[in-house]
Amino acid sequence: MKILVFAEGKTEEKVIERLKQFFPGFAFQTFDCKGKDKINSEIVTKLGPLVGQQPVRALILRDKDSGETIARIIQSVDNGLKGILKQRGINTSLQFQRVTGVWNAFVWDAPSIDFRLVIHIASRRSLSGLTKCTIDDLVLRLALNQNVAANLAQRQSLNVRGQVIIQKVTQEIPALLQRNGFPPLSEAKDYVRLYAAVLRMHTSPPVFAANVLASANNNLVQQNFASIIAAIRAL
Amino acid sequence: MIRSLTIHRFRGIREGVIKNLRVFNVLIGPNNSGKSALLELLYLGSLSRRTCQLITKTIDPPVHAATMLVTRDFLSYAPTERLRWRHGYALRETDSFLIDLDKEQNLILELPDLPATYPLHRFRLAAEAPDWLRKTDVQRTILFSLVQPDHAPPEFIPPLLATHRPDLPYQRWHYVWDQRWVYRWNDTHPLDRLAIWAEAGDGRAEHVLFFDFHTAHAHFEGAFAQRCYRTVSKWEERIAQSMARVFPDMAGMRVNVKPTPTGTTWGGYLELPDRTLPLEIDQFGDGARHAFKVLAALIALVDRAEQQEPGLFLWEDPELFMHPATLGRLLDEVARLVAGKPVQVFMSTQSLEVIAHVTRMLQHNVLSPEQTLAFRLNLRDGVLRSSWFNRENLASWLESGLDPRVLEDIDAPLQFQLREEVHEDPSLC
Repeated sequence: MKILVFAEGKTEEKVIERLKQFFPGFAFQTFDCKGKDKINSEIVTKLGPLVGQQPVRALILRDKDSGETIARIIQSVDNGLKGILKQRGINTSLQFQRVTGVWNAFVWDAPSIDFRLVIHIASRRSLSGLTKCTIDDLVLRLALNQNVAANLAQRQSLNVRGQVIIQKVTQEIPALLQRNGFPPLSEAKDYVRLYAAVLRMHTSPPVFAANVLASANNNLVQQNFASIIAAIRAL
Repeated sequence: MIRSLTIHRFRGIREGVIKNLRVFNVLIGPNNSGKSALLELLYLGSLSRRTCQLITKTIDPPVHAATMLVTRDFLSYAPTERLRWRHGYALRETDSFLIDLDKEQNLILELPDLPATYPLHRFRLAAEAPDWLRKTDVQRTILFSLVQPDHAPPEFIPPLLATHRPDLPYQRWHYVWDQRWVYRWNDTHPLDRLAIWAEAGDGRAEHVLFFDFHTAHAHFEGAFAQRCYRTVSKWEERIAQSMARVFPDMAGMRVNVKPTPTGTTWGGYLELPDRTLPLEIDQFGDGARHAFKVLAALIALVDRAEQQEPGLFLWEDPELFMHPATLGRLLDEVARLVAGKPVQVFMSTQSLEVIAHVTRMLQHNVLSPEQTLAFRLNLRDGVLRSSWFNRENLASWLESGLDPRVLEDIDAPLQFQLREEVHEDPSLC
């Protein structure tokens, strides 16, 4: 069974790359939609020709920006799906239902056409004061585990304890910036970049995410990304 | 233009409905998914233009307005023989029906596999003067068509057409009894021994060009070439111009179409500027032969197609023998020739390059996005399904490296990906 993943960016791709080992026998194909604004059109253009022709299992990984609500995000995707069905001449009147036991994942299931889609909305902030909830929050949360931080340092041949790195990234450096008139860091991605800079990783956030995921054991990964794993299971 | 097809038991298709057909249609799909079958049924249906009457005995009214196959297609081939030739059938199939000519020059047909009480168990086809039926029609008649299917008696309507009756004003229903074109398994209804399909739209084509592998390798029939020579304005000059757009190295050449040594067929001859002796097109590579013959025939079709006499162009595997760059130029030239003309096109392909070129042509409005769709066909257990791709679907799929031809995962050695921004390349247009 192939699961088509529609993601806002490449970080989600790296996450799926790591999570797929928990789903042997399933294939994943991830589409970088280059931002939330294009996710709906990507769903329409990619899934339209498949609907009603073969089983479809799709996962949307969506961030929640400041000012957005879960309800509005769901409605937007719901409109897109109904548009596909209307365009293809398929009648249905389904709604999204919450995935059992997962408060930020919702499933849209149409058994008559063997079509199931789950949307997972990143809804936790990794640190207080952040304005958005994104996939980077989940990556950062994992990176703020002492063992993971220590492993990352080791990969970079740095003789620094994990707790020290975390202290620098989450407290000392942000406080220093603020004392010198810089505005506070407002997104998980800011902290991700800072973290990478502290470790002298000259990489983008997606590559940083891949390194973090490679530095964490399976238990920790499963714990950290439990909601996404549950969303995939719902497919 | 044909807008929908409802198919009952034609070749491998036990049942199938295709809607949303456009002016330019690209058929894609795995082997044995029905692409060629669709081209053949479009070919047969569009050549059913010879007026006749279908006369039965056991129903009222006994006489129905009908049509049968014309004796020659656009290229002057006999249609039934043309299709038999495609499949390697040397002779007429004789096991499932009896056909003869009576004293009144009507064709009498008997289909023994239908119940004796069924109207189509035994019927006659009667033509009108001066187009009387002849002995050759005994060999070639495999089809009749109803021109007023609204008045068709229930015994003529298979269950699929009863439930999926097209709702367009112009319809024709076609009936084939030659078992080599009939889906032969799981018969449950008397009409399951016939291939029947309904085409619906807003009118029929008057001229049908079916171009395939065989056409690319054959000479032109003398009757076709002579007709073009006489009636198609500047035919040879236009062929030369089109060929030069596809093969820039051939710029400046002159084209002659004249009898081959056999006398019954005609061939193309190219006079290149730096050569004293003309070269027969068949001395060139297969790609040039293919391009020459399809362009020569299409120019003639487009010339004949006018508002009251629309055309139908059926093209199987345009990628045959074509280098990728030449293929792009050939497709562009075909699009240029049919642009704005009342010609409906059905093109079947296995080639991802053809699909990529079509996508490029849609992105640059060489093909109209509103008038073009690709249909991916899927034939399982005799059920034909189709899924359409418009410009956005094609571009999105190809830019992501997805293959519209493929339904399931395959372990392909190569993956193609459309460039996100396809720049206008003058050599490709």
